[in-house]
Amino acid sequence: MAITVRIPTPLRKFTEGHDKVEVQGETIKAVLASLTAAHPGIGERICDENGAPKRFVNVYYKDEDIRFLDNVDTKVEDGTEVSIVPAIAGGR
Amino acid sequence: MMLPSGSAYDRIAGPLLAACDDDRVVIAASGSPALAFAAAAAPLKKKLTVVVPDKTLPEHLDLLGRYAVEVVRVPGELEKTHAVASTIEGTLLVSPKKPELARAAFSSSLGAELVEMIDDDGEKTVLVSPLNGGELLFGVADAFVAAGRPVETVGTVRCEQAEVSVQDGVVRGSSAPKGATRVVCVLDPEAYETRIELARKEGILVGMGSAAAARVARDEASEGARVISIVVDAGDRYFSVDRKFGGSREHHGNHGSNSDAPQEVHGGA
Amino acid sequence: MARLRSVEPEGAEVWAKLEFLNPGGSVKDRPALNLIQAAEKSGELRPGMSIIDSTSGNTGVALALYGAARGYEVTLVMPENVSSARKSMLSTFGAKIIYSDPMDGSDGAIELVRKIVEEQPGRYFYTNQYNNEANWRAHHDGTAEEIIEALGDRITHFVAGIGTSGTVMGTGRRLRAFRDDIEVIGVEPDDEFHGLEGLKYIETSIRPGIYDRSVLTRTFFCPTDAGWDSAEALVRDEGLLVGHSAGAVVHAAKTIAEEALAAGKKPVVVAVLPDHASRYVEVRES
Repeated sequence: MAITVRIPTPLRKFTEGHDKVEVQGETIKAVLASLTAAHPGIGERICDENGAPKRFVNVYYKDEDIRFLDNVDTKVEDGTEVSIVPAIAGGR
Repeated sequence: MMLPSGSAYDRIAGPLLAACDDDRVVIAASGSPALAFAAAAAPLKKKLTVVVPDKTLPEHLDLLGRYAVEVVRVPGELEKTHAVASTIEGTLLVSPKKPELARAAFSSSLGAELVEMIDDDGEKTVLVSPLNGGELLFGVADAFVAAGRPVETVGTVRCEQAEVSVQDGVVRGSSAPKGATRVVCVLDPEAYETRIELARKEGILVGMGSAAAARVARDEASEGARVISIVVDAGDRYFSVDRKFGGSREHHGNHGSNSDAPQEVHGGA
Repeated sequence: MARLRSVEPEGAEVWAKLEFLNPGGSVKDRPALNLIQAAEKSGELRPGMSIIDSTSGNTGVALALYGAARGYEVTLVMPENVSSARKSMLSTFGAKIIYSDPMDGSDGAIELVRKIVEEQPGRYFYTNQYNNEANWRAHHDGTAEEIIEALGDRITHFVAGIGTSGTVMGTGRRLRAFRDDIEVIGVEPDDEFHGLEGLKYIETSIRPGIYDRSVLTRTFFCPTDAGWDSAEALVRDEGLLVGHSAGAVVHAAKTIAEEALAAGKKPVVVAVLPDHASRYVEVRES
């Protein structure tokens, strides 16, 4: 299960400057966990102690906010894309 | 947004809550009046319950939900909220069937202020505002009458809500002060057209009710009368009407794509 | 200005300058109007030109409003993840919107504006709020004077968020000229990845040209959570439904008041609350 995660500019210092990284996982939760394992430091910026995105972080799967899907339990398909977007400039 | 919660109701919410001895207060209202009371209740340490009709705009419900107040939603029109509000513990301060306090408060605040501003020249003043329960329009007119100033009131209602019972100057049990009172129906698309016009030509963003009143006020003024159009609230909490009447200008597809190829979206009603 | 008794430690005063009371609903009315007027005076802005800027929000609303009122077309470049409520409001004022990549944040929008302006010389007046001194001058001549008029000699600390830095630069300069022992504190997020809309983490951002560190006596770095919690406390205790950056500024003001008290001073802190939460209403599209 290869998933592409899009990384916003302020977090690229954790991904050697890459705007996209590939990780494994079948749910959003697993994707975030493997992202954190591969790129130390990124996890604490994005997630709370339960591994869920912080309230000011929006995670999109297929251009849909995961809060309106199954949240961190949202299933992800092989070859698809997950985006991490700070809730700046609108939204909550 | 020149008043704390952004509407004329800020003028009356604080004073009415402060004057109420009970710590538990109930109001039955929609939209801007509800938001004004919710904002005023916090610093006064009042435990407020707001009974709203479930037809309240979603953006109003969103804002209301952020205040530390209890919100009770009642199916149907505003009139239905009174009965439910009457059963809730606490002093029922304002409801569609209990507009007297709000009316008196508008008379002594906004009404008195406007009387002060208008020359005492014996000329008639025409007040135009959304009718709602009459508390604002009639309250302001009361101040003119009390000061011996000739006044006429024109209330605007949505044609789409024609079931609002207005007969012989009586609305929801509240009578207009003496002097001619007229009620003018405005269609939603007409009100929306005026909302857009005011925004684009004057840079003034107003709500749908206030836009309807401004439209009627313009017609009145063209006949040479001295007209005061009361803009009840800020228009930034009515964006769902833009979606409804402004046609589709939503834009999709650029999310995450190459920023070298920006897509332009032209605003246009 | 309103006194925020619920956040005051005993013995201190914390005053809020409620900038959502401006006609456009935010602190940005001040620079927007001044940027337009200054450009009209200098001849940079002429009838028929389009006013353009990159903005994630409040400046856009203010430019759209004053542009409409003065008869100019307004073009705004913003990250595409701006809320639909905001887009809708800007369109209502007739502003033209161009989207930049949301992954590049507000700096991406700045870069795109520069490109567009270069491509069509003479078509646009770029307000360039990050580098235009008319931005901080609006606060120097307006915001600061109003604060001095309200509190005079009593003010000890001034706290404002840093976005373009216009508020803290203009107000700070004037206040320190008024009395040189007034402390001027700029508030930034504590990390470049943050959720305090309107604020900038200067170290890793495109540095605003008008930003001059020497105007500040201190920078306060606010965690996103503290700013959000503070905004929630303000609506609960004061009935003030403000944006997250206002929450951050009030959190800073409270902390600074506590520290000054501990140092044996009697602080009178003024905090600028930039906008109202009605700016951030989002309703799910059905």
